[in-house]
Amino acid sequence: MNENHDGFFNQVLRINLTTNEIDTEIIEQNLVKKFLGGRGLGSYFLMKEVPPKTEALEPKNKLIFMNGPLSGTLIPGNNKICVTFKSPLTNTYSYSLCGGHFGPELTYAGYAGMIIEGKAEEPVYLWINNENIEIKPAEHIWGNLIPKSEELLLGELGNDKQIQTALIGPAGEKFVSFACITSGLYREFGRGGCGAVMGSKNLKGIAVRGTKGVFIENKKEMIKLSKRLVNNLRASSGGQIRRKYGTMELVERINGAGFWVTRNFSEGYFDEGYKLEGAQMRENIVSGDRSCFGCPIGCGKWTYMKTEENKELHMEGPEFETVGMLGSNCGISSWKTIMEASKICDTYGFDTINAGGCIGMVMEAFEQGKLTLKDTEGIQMNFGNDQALLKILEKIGKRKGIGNLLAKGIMKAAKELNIEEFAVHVKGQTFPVYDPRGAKAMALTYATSPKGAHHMYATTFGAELGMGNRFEENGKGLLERNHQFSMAIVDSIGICSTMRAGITLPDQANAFSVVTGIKMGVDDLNIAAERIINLERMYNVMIGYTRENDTLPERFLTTPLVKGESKGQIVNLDFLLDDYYNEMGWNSKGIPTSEKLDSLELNEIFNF
Amino acid sequence: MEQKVLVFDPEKCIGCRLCEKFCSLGHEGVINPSKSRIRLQRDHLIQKDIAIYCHQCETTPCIEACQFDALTRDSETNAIIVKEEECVACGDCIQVCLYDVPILDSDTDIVIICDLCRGSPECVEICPEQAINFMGLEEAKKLRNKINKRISQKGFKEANKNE
Repeated sequence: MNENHDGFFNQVLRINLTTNEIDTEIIEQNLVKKFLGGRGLGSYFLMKEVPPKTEALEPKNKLIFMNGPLSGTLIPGNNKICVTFKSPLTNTYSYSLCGGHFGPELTYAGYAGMIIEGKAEEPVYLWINNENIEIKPAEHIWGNLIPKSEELLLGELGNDKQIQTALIGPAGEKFVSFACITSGLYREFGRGGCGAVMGSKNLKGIAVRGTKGVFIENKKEMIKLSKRLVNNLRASSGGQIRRKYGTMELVERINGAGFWVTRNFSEGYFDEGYKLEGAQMRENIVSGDRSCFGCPIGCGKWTYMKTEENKELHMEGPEFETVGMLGSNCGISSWKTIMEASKICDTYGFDTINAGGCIGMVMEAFEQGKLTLKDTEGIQMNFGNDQALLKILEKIGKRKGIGNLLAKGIMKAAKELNIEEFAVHVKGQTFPVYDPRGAKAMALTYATSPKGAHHMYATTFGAELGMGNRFEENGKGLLERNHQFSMAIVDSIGICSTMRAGITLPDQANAFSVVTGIKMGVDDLNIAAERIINLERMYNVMIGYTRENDTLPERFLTTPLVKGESKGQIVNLDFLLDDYYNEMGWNSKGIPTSEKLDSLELNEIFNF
Repeated sequence: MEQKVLVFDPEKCIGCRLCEKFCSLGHEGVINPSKSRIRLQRDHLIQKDIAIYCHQCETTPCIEACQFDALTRDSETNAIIVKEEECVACGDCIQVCLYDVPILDSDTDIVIICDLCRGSPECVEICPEQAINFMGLEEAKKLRNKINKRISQKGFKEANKNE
């Protein structure tokens, strides 16, 4: 093993922006067995180093970027890097994953991850060029939109097109509580407000260039396995449909089944949804397919449109969540508006899901007469008003007027506007597009995820649609548990969740073992996943979260859906929660028992 | 043996970079895109990944430029071969190449150029999109012309849309 890493990358970079100290440390193999990498190792470091009651925007909070051990290897889809932090949006444990090329580049620079702590006195950016690491002034970049920021940063570093960036826009600089960290213009660490945490550290961006290699001991096996997995993915129906329509393939299924966010979840079926289906997108705006690093599916979509005013709109995306939250959620079905709206979020650097959630709330409250033109600064905030959507998004990015209020996050904004009954969120995180009344385990995903309502904590809706039991509430605790495990594994070993279309759990274990040389079976991965989920849970328990916080907005519990294929459905949350806590071995308050923590070898971690 | 060359089709490439990984592993024993003989560069403006790869030019400015006779053509495959013991890392071949192909290996200080994997290029085999092709010279010229024509007429984005 020369300067190349020995199969498993094991070096973590620690950068203190207060003292300008830069250090590396070694991750012990035992930790990799227990927490795998990525999200798992992130949860370990956050628990160990950031006390749960830390204020999210104070220098004591940290940004813990961690790759999975598969990062930079031949295993398909090995591009997901996780950032773990205390969230300014939800005041809970939080993490967010980003695809693209940033994570692998960090691996090739020689680092499994980096822990960023403290706060710089003036705006800075980080330049990580293999072992040469500099903290550089960024006053001249600060204040710019994402594309300009990226241009300035890359220009200054010699325009090497292989440099990968992760940076914040004005939203992160101004602490919009759902600001993203953006990589390569169109890939985001999207949810939970990590961009605001980065802004609070006066850190504008991170540029990475790595020219080192990943050495795999068992090269033959790695090649054989990887080629088989590439073929599996190409042959899988899931892979093929994602290639054709990207995540937009879901519109047909979710709207068709009547649980697609419509007008702030007042309905579950959007009449004009057919205009937004994957095939429509492909025909009208898709200009090409785009992969993240090492992915043979290519679900990303380049899009391009020439508007009536002869204006060119081009971008990557929008993805399914964005189209739902800024489209059907606001009663809007125009691709042009949705692209323009998405572009505003992308350039200022904030989460389209939370932005859409806030705007949906305002629109419903406005239509119900709970907000007046005075509250909305003269903007007619009706559902379906394209211009209103665009205006409010700009205001969020600039933190002006009502936008300044919404930038605080849906929970605080709803309280100040006194429209809490219209605020669709859990723990301050707005719902993504799936109405849990149409797929009951999603209610558990939203209610119990440690980062608030987040679909990727357990994407059960696919299985529920497939099994045809989506309204059933019996047995959903176990389904939820299994899906949470599945996500915790892919998020931690460092592959995209879409890879599950062709990489089964046994093959994930295989890949992990071949790459790291640590023999792990399916059971071992599941135990690690359970450990990670319990640790995440405990972080919130130590802040004071319990069953009372695992809740859903009133409408999902009492108001049946009125039209579409999920008509008449509500969620019996208490029943579902009891079942899930029981499956998890937690007490009726949703708190892991001491025996459970002991059996997962977690108790030792809490001695800080 | 008929001379075969590589042709890259930017309209097919999705930018997954599997070629870079397999190329570097085959040649260097490690997975390292920076040492790949084929390298992709993403351009957000034209919405494409463009490959930098050896075209096995008919005239060979790289060989001509080398004052140390470190570059030759393989008699069988016609690939450019680097004689490692002769290369002094002067960078002349890098300067003259029209396609920015040769790079300097930062560890060994020797130039890296595509050797066509001795006649069966790994990148061609692994590419899931058939975006990189290995074909006879005549056929290759036709394909290159076709690609160039389509792109120059319509621009990348429109060309893709109407595919």
